[in-house]
Amino acid sequence: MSIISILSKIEPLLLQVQKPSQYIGGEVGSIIKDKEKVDVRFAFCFPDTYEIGMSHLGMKILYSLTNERENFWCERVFAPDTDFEQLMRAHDIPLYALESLEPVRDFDMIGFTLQYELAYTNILNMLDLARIPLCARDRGDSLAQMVFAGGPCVCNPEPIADFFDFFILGEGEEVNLEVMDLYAQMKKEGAGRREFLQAAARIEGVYVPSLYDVTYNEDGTIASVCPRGDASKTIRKRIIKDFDKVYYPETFVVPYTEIVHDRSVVEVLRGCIRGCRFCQAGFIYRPFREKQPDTICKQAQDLCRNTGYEDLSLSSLSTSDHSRIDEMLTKLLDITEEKRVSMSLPSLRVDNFSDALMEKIKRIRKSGLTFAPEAGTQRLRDVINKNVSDEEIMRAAKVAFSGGYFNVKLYFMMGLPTETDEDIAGIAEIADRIVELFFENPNRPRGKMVQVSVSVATFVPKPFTPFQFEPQATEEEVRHKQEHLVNSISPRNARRVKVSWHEFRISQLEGVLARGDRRLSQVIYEAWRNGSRFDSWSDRFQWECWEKAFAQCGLAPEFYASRRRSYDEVLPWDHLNYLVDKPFLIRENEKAKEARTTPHCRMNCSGCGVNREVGRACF
Amino acid sequence: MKTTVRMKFAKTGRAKYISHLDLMRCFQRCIRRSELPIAYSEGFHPHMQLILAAALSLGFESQAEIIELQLKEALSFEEVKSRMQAILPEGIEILSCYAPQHKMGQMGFAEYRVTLPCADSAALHEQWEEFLSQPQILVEKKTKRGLREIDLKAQTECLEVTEGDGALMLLLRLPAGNAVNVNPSLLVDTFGKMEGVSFGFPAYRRLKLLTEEKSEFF
Ligand code: SF4
Repeated sequence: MSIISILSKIEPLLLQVQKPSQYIGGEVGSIIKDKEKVDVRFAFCFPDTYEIGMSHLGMKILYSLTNERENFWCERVFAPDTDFEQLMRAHDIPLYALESLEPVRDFDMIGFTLQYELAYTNILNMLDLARIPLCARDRGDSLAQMVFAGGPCVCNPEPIADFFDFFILGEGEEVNLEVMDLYAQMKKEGAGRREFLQAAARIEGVYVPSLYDVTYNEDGTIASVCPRGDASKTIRKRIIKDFDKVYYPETFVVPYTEIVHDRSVVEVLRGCIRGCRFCQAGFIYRPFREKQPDTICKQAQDLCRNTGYEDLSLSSLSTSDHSRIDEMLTKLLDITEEKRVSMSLPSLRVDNFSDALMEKIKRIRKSGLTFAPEAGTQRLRDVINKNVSDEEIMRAAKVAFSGGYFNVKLYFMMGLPTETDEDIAGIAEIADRIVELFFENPNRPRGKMVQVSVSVATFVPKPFTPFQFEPQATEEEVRHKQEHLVNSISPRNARRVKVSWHEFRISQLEGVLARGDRRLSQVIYEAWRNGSRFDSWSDRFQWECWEKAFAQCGLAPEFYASRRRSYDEVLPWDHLNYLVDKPFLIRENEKAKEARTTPHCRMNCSGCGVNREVGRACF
Repeated sequence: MKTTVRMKFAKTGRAKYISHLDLMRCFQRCIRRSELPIAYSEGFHPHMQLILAAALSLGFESQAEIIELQLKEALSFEEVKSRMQAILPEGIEILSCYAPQHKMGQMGFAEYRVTLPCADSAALHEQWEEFLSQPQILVEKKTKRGLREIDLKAQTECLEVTEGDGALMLLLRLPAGNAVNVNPSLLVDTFGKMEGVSFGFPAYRRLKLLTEEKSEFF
């Protein structure tokens, strides 16, 4: 099928759907090549809608990086929203890529980025729309339609193992090109799929699930994961050693329609020194690495000039932990002011900033205060190793109120290990005290009501964290905690404190998929067949589809979500090496039980194993 | 010295799916990329001095769109044109660059070519003549003050009809001013609802913008 036919088929339909420009490509910065002159055509798929996928930095990096290579052509593919999906199915239009408007099924490599577990049914839906066999084993032995994935969820890819030919663990900037080079060479040699996968598995960071056999015990836990042939026992994630020199795009594709994060973004650091015990990102992106302020400034300047964006933001897990943050922000603020670019700043620990910088920040900061204490008492914050004190929260609120703000947003979790009713009541106490602080401020804006929004997520234990062994709270427990929280808020503040939480079933499903094993592939398939799509959107999520799917497969979500794992249980992801070792995670889990904190990496190395794997000290 | 520059541009191909608001944002970003000395308004939230005249419906192509910029310093029209063209996306092409001759408020009409795919263009042509020969063509039109009934017949000038191979082509002149504005799709949709009439997905192209006196708008 040629570009003319897909274009002529979609043209009459585009005016019937929301935001049609998301389906037509042609944006400033999008890259068109001659398909006859490239060796490998790569469809980069984001399993969510355009406005979400286009906001994702990793995709921008890999898109530009791949297209820098003359013999590769990387194109973008997003999940069509339901209105367009219906029309595509009714009019027999296969999933296509935005640059060439050609069917994805004609591509050599089809890569998905997995940012959150709740996008898994979207992957199946996209493969189905592309008319590519959903299961890897049904794709025959030709090299074409090689389906793979990368991204954080790949640290436990077992639940989706059936659908992928291979996975890429860790950072993609080097390994992606290595795999594509291998593909280009083997395509020329006329090699088959199996041959390619065996060769790819020898590249560090490449995991080919079909080269591993999983056996189960009678109780449903894993007995063993055995490599076939000469496949290696463990697969180690890739990292970029010299992060300051790593490739960074000089321009982005600038969309026409508004997207979630529509601006220039510079990645300032990778990894995190903090070691909060609930946070998967804090462990799987180790070691901590940062860019030099001059590198950051140059990249910011290039991007602003080449995209024309009027906004700039910084990307990292914790920008305040940059060792030269003062210098970096001072320089960036000078540049952005001159270029009429507005810079949005994340919440920063401001203790040791110079007065001059504070002045500059004050001028541009416009948002209210958001704060993430995560837990309601100091004891529980020690359990999760979240290094924030009550005094710090109150001090920040005071600063915000004296600056004329009257909105405060607080983020907490419930269902954390060792949590009691007292910890839940602590959340209410913090909210109440912040309301009081507002009224203690003599200069408070008159006629305005203080509004404290308390957002409480259900804690989801994740692989490669010290809490990977822990059970997730059950529905009854969560309901009790929610009621206890609402009842603990002082009645006179009922209208000033707004509490919201996530739907329990969505969090539970996230937990199941995060720590699941290969048997879940069948459940995901059935859930998709039952109609599941866009499970992360609470207005689209349908628990019935999943409930039915679990029953169809004879599996129970509670087995995956609410069960405590013993330290010696074989976990589905144990054969993947994310540099942080299991004994460290066990030590941290034990310290958590005693509410003992662990200092951050810059203060003191806790021996998580990363330095040994990388072969040098982190700091 | 502050100068005003007007540019005529075409919007074709994929670019026809860029909405008016999105096109505005696209131009703002492109102008930043071009580093043209654009003027900003005064005030707390300064914005670029830029006007995009006569909003074009989503899905229409055009060879007669107009954008006007205020520049802080005078540049040759040639230079503005080439610096803009260098950074514009696929489907947007600057056709000419000049000093404004009419006030924006003087815009009165627009000409469109409408292509109606059909099996038998002679038969469709006959139906079209029949449609237009009605004494009145009354339709409900959404306006700022709610639904209003208007007579399309009184507003429509059909300048030319061509029986093509597999399509009927209409050349229409319709009001496109501040006070009255008629979208050709309203006319075509009404035609499509007439008994026995059927045609494929219509293609629209704006050919000209005209003044109230029906001379070309510059
Ligand atoms: S090896 Fe030490 S410094 Fe490096 S990440 Fe692990 S705990 Fe932190």
